[in-house]
Amino acid sequence: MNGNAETLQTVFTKNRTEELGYDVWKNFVVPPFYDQLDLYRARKPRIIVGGRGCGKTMLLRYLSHQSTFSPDRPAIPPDAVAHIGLYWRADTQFAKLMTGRNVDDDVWESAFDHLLALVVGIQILQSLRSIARSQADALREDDVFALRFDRLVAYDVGFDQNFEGFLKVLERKLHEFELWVANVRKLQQPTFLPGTRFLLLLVSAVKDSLPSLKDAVYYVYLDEYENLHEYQQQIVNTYLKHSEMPLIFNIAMKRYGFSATKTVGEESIINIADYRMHDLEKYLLEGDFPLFAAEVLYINLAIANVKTVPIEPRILRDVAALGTRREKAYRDRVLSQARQLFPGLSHDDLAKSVFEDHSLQKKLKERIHYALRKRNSELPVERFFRPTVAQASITASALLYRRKLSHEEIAGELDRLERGEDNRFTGTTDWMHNNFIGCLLSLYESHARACPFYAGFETFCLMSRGNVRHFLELCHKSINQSIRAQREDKLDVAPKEQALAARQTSAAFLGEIRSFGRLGNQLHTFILRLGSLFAMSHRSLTQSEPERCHFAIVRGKALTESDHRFLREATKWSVLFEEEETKVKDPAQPANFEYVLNPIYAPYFCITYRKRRKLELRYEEFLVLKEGTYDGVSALLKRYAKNWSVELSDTDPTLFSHLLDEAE
Amino acid sequence: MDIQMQSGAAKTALLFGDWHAAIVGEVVDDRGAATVAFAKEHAGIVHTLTYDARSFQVTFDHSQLPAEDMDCVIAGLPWQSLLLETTTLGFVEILLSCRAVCQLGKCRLNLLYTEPAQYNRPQHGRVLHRRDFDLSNEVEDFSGVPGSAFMLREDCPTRAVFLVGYEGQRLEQALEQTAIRPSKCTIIFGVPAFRPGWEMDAFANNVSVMQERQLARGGVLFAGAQNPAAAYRAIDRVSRSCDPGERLLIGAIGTKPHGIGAALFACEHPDVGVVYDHPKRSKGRSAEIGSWHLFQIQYGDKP
Repeated sequence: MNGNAETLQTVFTKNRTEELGYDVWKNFVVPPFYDQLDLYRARKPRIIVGGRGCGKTMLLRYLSHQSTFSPDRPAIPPDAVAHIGLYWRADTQFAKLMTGRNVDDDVWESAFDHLLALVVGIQILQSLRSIARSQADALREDDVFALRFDRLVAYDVGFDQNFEGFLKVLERKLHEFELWVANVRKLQQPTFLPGTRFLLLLVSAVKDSLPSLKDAVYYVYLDEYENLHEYQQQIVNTYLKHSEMPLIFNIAMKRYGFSATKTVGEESIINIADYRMHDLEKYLLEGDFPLFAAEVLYINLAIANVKTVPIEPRILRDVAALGTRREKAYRDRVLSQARQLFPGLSHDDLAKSVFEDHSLQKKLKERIHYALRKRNSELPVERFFRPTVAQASITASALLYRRKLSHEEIAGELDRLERGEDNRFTGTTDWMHNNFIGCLLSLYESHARACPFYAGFETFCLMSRGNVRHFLELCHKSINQSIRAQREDKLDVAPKEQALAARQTSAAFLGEIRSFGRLGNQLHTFILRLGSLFAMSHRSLTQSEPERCHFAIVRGKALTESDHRFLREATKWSVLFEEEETKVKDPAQPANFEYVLNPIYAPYFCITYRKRRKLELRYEEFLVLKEGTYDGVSALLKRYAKNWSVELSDTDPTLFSHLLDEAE
Repeated sequence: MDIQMQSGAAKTALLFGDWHAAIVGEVVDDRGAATVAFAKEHAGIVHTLTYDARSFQVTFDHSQLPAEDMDCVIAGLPWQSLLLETTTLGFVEILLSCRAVCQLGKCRLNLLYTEPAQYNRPQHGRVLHRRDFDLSNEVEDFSGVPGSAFMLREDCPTRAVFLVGYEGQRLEQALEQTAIRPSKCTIIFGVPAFRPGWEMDAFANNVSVMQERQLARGGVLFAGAQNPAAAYRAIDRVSRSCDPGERLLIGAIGTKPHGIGAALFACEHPDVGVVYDHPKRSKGRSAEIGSWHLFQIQYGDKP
């Protein structure tokens, strides 16, 4: 068997970095944009931004001392000590307690400084142990245990200790601090350490005592900055502003998390002068996401003992090997194997699959029959139901509803296509290119079987849109489907199994929206409403505007601050993507933004994952979707159903059955 | 500590003597109105208590004060004969009140609770229903509770126990917002549920989160949904299984009786941490009243 089935089922479940621990050395794939980050020569702080699942935490943990000096790393370059990463994700449920409660603001500010001194101080000490226990030559454990910290006695007489003793004192102080924060009205306030001043003295004590660390620079990586209180962010901003060797502060956050650029003083922090910002998601999308995604997939498979992987994990972990990984032959080999693992169907094959499925065939025939009857046509269904030109036949099922086209005209074009002559199904008019996927999806709507349009490695990449977690989940669920189908002997997943997995993944991620911050419930409701509207558009009989999956607010009142906050939140959590508007129909309009539904939700709604056509909403319609009553949304859907020639039927349970229930 | 429980289909089935004072929360439905009316009928004086998760303050009648000062409030009440009306009180209000009473030593505390007769059951499957389109409230992030908080750190091992109900997203959100390792989580389901079949909703809504995050490795326990003593015992079992040096964090996001069990456990174990997300209870969420429960907590020796 190719890999252990149980391992294969579980290896992807650790697709959240938090579940891997701090040492991610084994699982890390150096991303293709890594050299753009210029981390090793960085003298300015870095601000890492990006949506959920784009790899921020993974990168930060890779840069931490636990990974750099991982016991799994067979050889460590001598200059590794020049970059000692200290990872800290502030525990927000605890950090939230550090405000108000009849305690003065300046006390909380000093308390946060103290917390940072303790947490980062402990990390600095732990980094020495990591180095000493690693393959690096820089330190031995004896060197570390021999350290003394007399110089820090100025801050606390208890600091007159050796390494173990000093670490214990800091840990005890942290416990005391936790207890004080929990019971701030009952316990005596501890003596606070002065944040960076304490840390700089600690770093200098370490460097002076350990000559092998004389060039060491400590980089603090603070994750999930956006979850801190504003005053805590201002303190961190001050650290950023005044970062200097050998202690540089860096932060990571979701988009729109950097709202407070103030420091605790009069200054603000300013891009370029004070920090460099790196948008990981943007880098991934502009770079070679498919190759990176395939490499991450294969390193997971390699960890699960799958032998036939086209990568060498050692190379993927090696920053110096980025050049090799950019070579065409390597890229072709990896992508080709990924396509074999998750094969997709061509449009022609997608069309043929409709003719091979009894109920879809029947549905197509009924649709053609209904279109002919509606316009009193004498032509038989068979004139349009042609397995030999399957794609065109499916496309014709929508064209027959368009009043501007006569049925004879469409039949004639089908004849010409079948004879290999110039025709409007292909060529410059290209009805098939413009309408086929819309027609196909409308056939699958309410169908029990998932549409194989959602299968294929490239499709998985498109639906993931730079989100590694989404990509891995699509792969994980697909492989699980394959294992269930008892085909463990070789690793490839049939398109129909992938499509089913995509639908399951989509539903799971849709449900997850409720947990996206304070507006999670509202975002979830909005996406259900918006997705339903797009799904309704896909059911249009004429398919005159097929594949709508993004919108712009083009008419009506201006957005309020609350609307902007809502859209920012939707973008921050990547349920929508904001893009500058293209194809503005009225050039007199000012530049606007359009919002693309995250394509991971497409399989759930049985809509396209491709950004094709835009839905132009009036402000009032957007408002109904955002905060309207059920009756308001219902009226909106029914109005669009009429405009788009959608026939609500009670024969199958659909996304819209509730609209029919309402009518009863 | 000893927990005595009695229940009945109606308030008349409960055996009790009147109380000197009662503490109630905000009334949002018929259940709350009925229980607050009961408190007014059987207590000499009725006080209202609400907790604000953003300011960590409580409002006791019309006074605002820090949550930690609840012990002063309780000490000023006739605490030897006190009723907490827990249908209307939130989890944190219950925790703060119980802790304040517990600190006073030997005493008896009474907690009243009524079950819902029915609730808006979640629908499953891809087909959307009206409730999917109904608006939902803004929710708070999970935060610690004054007096029962510690900092979650990767280098400081923590066990977590979540008592879950039918809202799977609350468990998802707890894991999203905290640094809890899924393999270190134990889930407690309310089984038997208030009504046969309701437990299926709790399973269905939490199972995907449990699968996605491999939560079951930390263990799954069951405790009757209406039984705070069983919830207490289940948490105690988890606590006893902690490794030396491992700390225990409790997330009571299931039924109210489970919340009471969790609050009682946290009162007796000051080293335990508690996180909560303070969901806003929607107005008119349940119209009919199910069984009535009276839980009598005896702190210290029995009289």
